[in-house]
Amino acid sequence: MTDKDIQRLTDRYLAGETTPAEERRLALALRQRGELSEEWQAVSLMQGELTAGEAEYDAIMVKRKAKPSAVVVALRIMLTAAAVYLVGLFLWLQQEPTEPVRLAAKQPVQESVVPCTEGTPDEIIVCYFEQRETRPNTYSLIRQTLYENKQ
Amino acid sequence: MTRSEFEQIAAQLRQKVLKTGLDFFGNKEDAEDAAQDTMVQLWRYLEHIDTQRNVEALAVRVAKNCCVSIYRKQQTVTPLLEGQGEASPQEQLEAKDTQRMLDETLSLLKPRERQLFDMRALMGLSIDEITQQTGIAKPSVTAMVSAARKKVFTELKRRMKQ
Repeated sequence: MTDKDIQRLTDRYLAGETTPAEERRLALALRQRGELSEEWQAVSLMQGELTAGEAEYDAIMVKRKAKPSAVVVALRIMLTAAAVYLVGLFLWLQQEPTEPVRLAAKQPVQESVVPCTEGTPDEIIVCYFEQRETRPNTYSLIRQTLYENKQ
Repeated sequence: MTRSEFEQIAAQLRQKVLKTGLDFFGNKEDAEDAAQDTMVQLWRYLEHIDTQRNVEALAVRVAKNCCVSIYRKQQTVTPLLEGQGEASPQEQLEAKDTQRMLDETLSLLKPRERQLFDMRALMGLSIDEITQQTGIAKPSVTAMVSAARKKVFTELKRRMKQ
């Protein structure tokens, strides 16, 4: 708040025209200032500690509402990263292989894969990871299958 | 306000100030501390509280000040020496003198002027709320508040120059 604003509010305060919110703003501005003229010192004194304290309370609350919490920031970062990853994956899957025919020819005939649906949960997980190890290029295969289906 | 009058409304007031603390801190521990401090402050100044006035409004204002006070303490790095960071004896003396000067100045106001001055400065009520509570017309409230403030302002400036 500029000196001019403070003086304008001071004049309105003395005329009894200020609202409680304006008085809190004035109190906070006077409190945050180092050296005060006699007039402003008197006004600050008249407003009392309660008004200045209340103004500080409001200022802290406003600052907190404007600043998101660490949890919200972390969630936003994670969601953004996930969105970027999914968009990238989608675009990558849309690309056509540069040498489709040769790649398809080079690809060995895939053995039929038995779905990991039977056994205990531990067995299913172990089965799943074993199959993933034997087929590391899953995304390449999906992409190629999609391309071949289009042909 | 008498002690028994305060005791009758204490539970209700406590809930109100506890909510103010919870809004501010977001945790019950600090909110309880602020509520406790507020009730102690109100108890100390019991005889200065007018039963006819809005005690809840005053309690909330005091609660907000207590919240800020606790918050400041939490933000301050623990002083190396005991007592460091608190107001010096000279500062405490100056604060007492200033408060006495203000009290003496306010005592010069007429009862009606003092009442309206306090309703604005202490209770934080708006002109409309004062009009509702006192039944005095809005322009008259504004005029009386202005007259009271100008009187206090002039007297304070005079005393400061001495």
